[in-house]
Amino acid sequence: MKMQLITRAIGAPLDRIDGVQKVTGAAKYAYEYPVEGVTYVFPVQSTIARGRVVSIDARAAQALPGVIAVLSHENAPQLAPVDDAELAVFQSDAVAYHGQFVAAVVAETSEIARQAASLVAVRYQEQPHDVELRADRDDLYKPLSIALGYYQTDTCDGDVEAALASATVSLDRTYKTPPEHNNPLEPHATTAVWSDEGITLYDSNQGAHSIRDTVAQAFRLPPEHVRIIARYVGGGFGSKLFVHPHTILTVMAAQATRRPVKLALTRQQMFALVGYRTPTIQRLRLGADRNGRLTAIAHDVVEQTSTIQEVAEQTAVPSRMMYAAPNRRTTHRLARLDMPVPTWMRAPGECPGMFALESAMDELAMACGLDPIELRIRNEPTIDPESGRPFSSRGLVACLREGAQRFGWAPRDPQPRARRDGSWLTGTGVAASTYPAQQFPATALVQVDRAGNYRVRIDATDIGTGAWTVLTQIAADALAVPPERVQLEIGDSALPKAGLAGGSAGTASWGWAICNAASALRTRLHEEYGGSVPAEGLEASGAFETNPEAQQFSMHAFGAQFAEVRVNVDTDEVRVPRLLGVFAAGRIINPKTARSQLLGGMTMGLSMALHEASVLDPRFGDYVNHDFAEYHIATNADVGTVDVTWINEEDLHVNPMGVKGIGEIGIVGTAAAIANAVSHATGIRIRDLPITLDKLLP
Amino acid sequence: MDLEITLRVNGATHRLSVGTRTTLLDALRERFGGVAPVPWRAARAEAALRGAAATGEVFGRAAEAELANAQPLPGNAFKVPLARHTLVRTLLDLTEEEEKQR
Repeated sequence: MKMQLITRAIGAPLDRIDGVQKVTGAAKYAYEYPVEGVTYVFPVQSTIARGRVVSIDARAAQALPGVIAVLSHENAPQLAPVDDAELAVFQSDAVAYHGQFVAAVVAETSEIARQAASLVAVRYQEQPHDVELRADRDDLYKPLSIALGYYQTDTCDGDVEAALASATVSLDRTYKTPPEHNNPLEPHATTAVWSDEGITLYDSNQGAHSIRDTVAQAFRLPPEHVRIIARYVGGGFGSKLFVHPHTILTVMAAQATRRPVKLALTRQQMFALVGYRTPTIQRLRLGADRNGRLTAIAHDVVEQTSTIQEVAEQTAVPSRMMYAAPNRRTTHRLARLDMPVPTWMRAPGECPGMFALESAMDELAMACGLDPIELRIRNEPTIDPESGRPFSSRGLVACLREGAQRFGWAPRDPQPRARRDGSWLTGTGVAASTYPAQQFPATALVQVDRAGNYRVRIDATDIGTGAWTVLTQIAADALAVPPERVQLEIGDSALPKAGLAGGSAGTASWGWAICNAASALRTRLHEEYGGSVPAEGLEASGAFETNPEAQQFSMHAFGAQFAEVRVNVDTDEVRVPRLLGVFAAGRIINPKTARSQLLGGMTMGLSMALHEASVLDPRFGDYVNHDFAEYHIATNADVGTVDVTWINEEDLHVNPMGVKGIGEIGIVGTAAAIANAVSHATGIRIRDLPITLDKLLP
Repeated sequence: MDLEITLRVNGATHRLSVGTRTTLLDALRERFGGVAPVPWRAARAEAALRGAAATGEVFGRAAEAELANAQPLPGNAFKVPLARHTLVRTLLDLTEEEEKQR
């Protein structure tokens, strides 16, 4: 039987329940836990991109008062192999990327550790490195799968080449996105404390159980002897989903010195050690008939990974399900480079992929003489073109229409470079957004005492998104009590196991487990105790395993983003005075936190469109603009009016709450909407992000 | 004899006292920010402007004179046209502002 929630707390704009703790500083982050006798570890990073460490001279470092140990491959304990070869910290003398850990100093203070690290003299045998991604490399390879095995590498339906050859209108364009770094505000930080029972890590991450399992495996510990605490996390954006080398290093330092150890990466270290989004080179070919109906979509992607660990981003995946076309093809090819290991970042796949697809759709609309909204409506599929399944719900057209009205889209003169306001050319653009609605297994425990106070325990993680608040709201409705009666416990691997704060799946997965636990508790209470809580209280567990309807329906959130831009006629500076995002993402649990999350996503999309790019120095294999002075991120002055709204969408196929997830869809499509608006304003199509003024200057 | 004049540059008001025999262009001191490690005094442009008429064409020639010897690198070549456009626009804005004040 399908569970139907009666919603009271769900849908209310509740203030963040963790808000007061955060603004008063009471909420402790990983680095802030006071630990008796704590020491500090500071890494030494390789200055070459490929080669071997020949010698490590640590005498000067060891002579510094306060230094406890210098670790390197010469004296490190042996680790058990784990799936990620990057985590084999100090297990050999090999260097696979610039910035890799080659040694580390543990000292009584962080200052001493840092100074001593600078005194460690490392000699290398350098080998030639290969760090530049190009589409014409002859060593591109086809990964076995993409997105950790979640998707097929390539897909092919029909005959794309023939359809393109016979299309009335066709388009063949290459779009590029640069390397981008996740850059959460809170740096990656760990505090490691050994005790007789095992090790406790106060760690900044997006899923304590995921960190626990990897640490336990690497250090050959039973998982129950590893405890990970991550109650408050200052952003992750994908870079804290999985263990990175600094966590291994901190545990190793604590093991080697038998002292508690703290580490917080510096911003500069984060540019080599905790991942980034691969640069992408995307060839997009579209074929259409004279009415703008797509006959062919081909999306061929080239991206990079590292030599020691494969990360294959699913960039072309959205082109598999967005639009109806009888002939479709997607491919992903990788170059294995002597570069740091990429990772998952802010809507991996959809975000860069939809920049290409939605830019190409805008170019096609111009080629067909059609309004870009009309072009998308004409190509709206009735079923998922890839799986052949019906959509559980698909709100794209509703979002486009609602957005057009709200934005004042029509009447729009499609003529480029035709509007001027003083020294500024103006233009508008639109693009679609999408992100899959998915769920990961989760378990939860609900307890009630005689006074009617509920405790909900689940290893969910709030990375700043509002999970503390929305899970409380879901639990309140599932238990049919006011939210004040519910006390939530999350962010601790000692709590019932649950999945990552990632894939926009947190609320759906954790919420489902909480609903099931609440339902079990209510059943027990009524069937076993006649509705009266026994003196010792009562508890019940609930789990969510899989959604059987995921095999019957294609489940995605959709959206439409609109941008107004101004481009200075003399300097070609780009300004974005107005953004609008309209989303169809199922039920919105909390309009206040949801608005913030979507607004944040769109702001990151603006940042991607205009600013963000990690600049490679190929001589060293290093990203050189590795701080916030030189890696530009949109600031308040760059952001104009951002209007965020959503349509009411009831979809109970996705889960009992009807939520599709809003963690990532906000960033998908923004960059294309802005690029399309820049093209409308200037007549110049930028296919290579970010849209900086040098690309627009004549 | 001196004359008080008011200039608005990038939205900020500047009051100057200059001799009446001094043209506006004589009094200009062009500096580019952000194109060099220190503000770049555009002495060649100033020389080209001194005593010349305040027209867009003259400004364009002054900018060309200033930038004729620029040797940009691949990553900063855009700064040459950017500097040219910015200088011309700034001078046009200034002189148009002065026209309005009369």
